[in-house]
Amino acid sequence: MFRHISAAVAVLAVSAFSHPGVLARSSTNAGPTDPQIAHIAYTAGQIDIEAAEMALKMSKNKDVRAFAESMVKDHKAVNKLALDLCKRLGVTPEDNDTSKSLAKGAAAKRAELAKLSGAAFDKAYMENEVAYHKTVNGAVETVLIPSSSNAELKALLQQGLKIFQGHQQHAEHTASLVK
Amino acid sequence: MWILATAIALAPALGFTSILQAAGLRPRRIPPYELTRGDPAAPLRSFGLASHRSLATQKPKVHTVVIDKAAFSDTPAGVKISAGDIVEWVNLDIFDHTTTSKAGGWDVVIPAGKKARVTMKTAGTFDYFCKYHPNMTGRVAVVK
Repeated sequence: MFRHISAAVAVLAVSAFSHPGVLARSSTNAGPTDPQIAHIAYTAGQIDIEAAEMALKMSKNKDVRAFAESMVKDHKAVNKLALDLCKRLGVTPEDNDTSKSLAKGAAAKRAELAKLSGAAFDKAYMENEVAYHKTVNGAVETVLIPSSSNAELKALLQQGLKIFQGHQQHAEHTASLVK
Repeated sequence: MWILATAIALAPALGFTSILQAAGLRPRRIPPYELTRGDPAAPLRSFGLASHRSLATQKPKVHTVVIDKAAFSDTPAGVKISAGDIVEWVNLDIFDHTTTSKAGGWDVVIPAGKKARVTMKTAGTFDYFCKYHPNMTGRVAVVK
């Protein structure tokens, strides 16, 4: 998944800085639009919820399960906030290349994890969670937050980032326990 | 005599507390934080009536730490309290958090929108964090 996410982030970065045609908001501001940002953030959260739900089916390790339970709860809470905000602002999240790339990468990773079990699954799941949060957090911080024009959307992303950075540390700690 | 002493000593473990109470020999539970190794005066203070009475009448203070937007409100200065006081964490977030002592003294989940309390029994400076979001940290400084 790391490779796929990196590709997605590369699409995002490229579109943000050099090819306004792909995800352009306007000719003067080349970042993704707010409806696209909302879609990317929601998709990224949904991917992590699905990965965690898979872990809760596959893993018997208490630390891994505690991590996964926390991911399901937190990302559902953030995604609910995002949807509520979109509704209130009358914004419809808009699918885009970055969201598609994220979804494609996640599907590939799920297929890979499905072949594993026991300690091998735990290790692969946790390693992916570290890499995934690292990459997505980087994109939220350097692309999504600076590109968002609505103040409330920006604030939500900033609050989300603090939580997601916490997830990255939690993932690193849990990964160290299942090595 | 030694048989009686042994019986009294073993009574609580054997579940004879009520018999002892009936005989006016209620076993006393000594809180571990009252016992200080290496200080000959400490056991006397712990067992002393004056000390015991003051512990019973002194109402512990409650110090509140608010959790909002994935942060503890006491950061970075920390909460300064007296031994025996209570720290209450109030979680205003929509996320579950924990207050977890780095040294292992306490580990409590504070569900979204709920509160949790910990009584600080021993003096010292205790750093704590949220297990779910370890970038959230705080500190409690307890004086005697």
